[in-house]
Amino acid sequence: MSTAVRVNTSVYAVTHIVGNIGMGLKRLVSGCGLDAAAITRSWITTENAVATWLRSGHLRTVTLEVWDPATSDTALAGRFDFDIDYDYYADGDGALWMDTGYVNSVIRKSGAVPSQCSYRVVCSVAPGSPEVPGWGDTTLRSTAGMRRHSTGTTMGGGSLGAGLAYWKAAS
Amino acid sequence: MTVIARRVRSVPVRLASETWVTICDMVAPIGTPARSELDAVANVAAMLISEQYTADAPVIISGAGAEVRVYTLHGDDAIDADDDGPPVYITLDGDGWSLSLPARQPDVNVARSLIKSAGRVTVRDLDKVDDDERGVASSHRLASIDLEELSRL
Repeated sequence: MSTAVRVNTSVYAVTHIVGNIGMGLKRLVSGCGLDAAAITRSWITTENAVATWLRSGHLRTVTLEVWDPATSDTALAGRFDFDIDYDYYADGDGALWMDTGYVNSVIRKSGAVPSQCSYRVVCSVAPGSPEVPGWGDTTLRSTAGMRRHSTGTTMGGGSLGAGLAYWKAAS
Repeated sequence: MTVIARRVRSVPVRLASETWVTICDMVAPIGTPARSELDAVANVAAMLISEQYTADAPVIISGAGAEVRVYTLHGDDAIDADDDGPPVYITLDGDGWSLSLPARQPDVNVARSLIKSAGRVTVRDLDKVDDDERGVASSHRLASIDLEELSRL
């Protein structure tokens, strides 16, 4: 008789969430028809920031802002938020999971953006967060005239989860 | 040709960027010219590892003795693996080495647009069969089983 022992530490959960947020951001960019070169060029910087602030417990939201510079540098064309949940499923079995179909679903619901749009990744953190090289203070673009739609939790592991919400012009 | 294969643990055991560092550590010590070239493509490599292209198709390192083929393990496969395997005892030096990263479109174009390293690091499109792979494919055809003939036995 053999016994399988699964060690599923919170370290694995953090890495799982970091990896899948990175992949989710990139797939949102590609799925919107935007050039993924910019997000690839800063892959390690983004991964490092999300991992650092997730481990320290300061990370609240990872946001992908999309805007059309041909129209306005300040007005949003689209926005996607990965909201971190530190109390996701503490009593669960610790399984690491991810909803692989959420990106296409969210892109379909959020509507098209012009292909010439620019984008950036913004991490919202709690006060007292550690410094991460390459990152500085900024202000999110206004969401006036837009409405937030939550799609629920898209990935999880132990007590850590991340949900995805998208912003769309209020009709 | 001697081929050495290794399977390196990736997410969730380590981040994609850390996975790339582990692969680099296997063949290119820090401070060497080869390591500088590999560090220069780290963002691209980490993205391709995150997309798990390297789970099914290897990073191919050649021109420094034995060919090294490095796959990455993800999810339960990474957790279940005990380690990354023994050292490969290969060091990239001189100009004769090359490294090939696997990808599929549209990531092939994204990765190629960002890699500029004198041609030693390249991105291969897994949906396009190169000459070597055609050779393997034709060999497989020669060895295929004729089921119709087999049924007559």
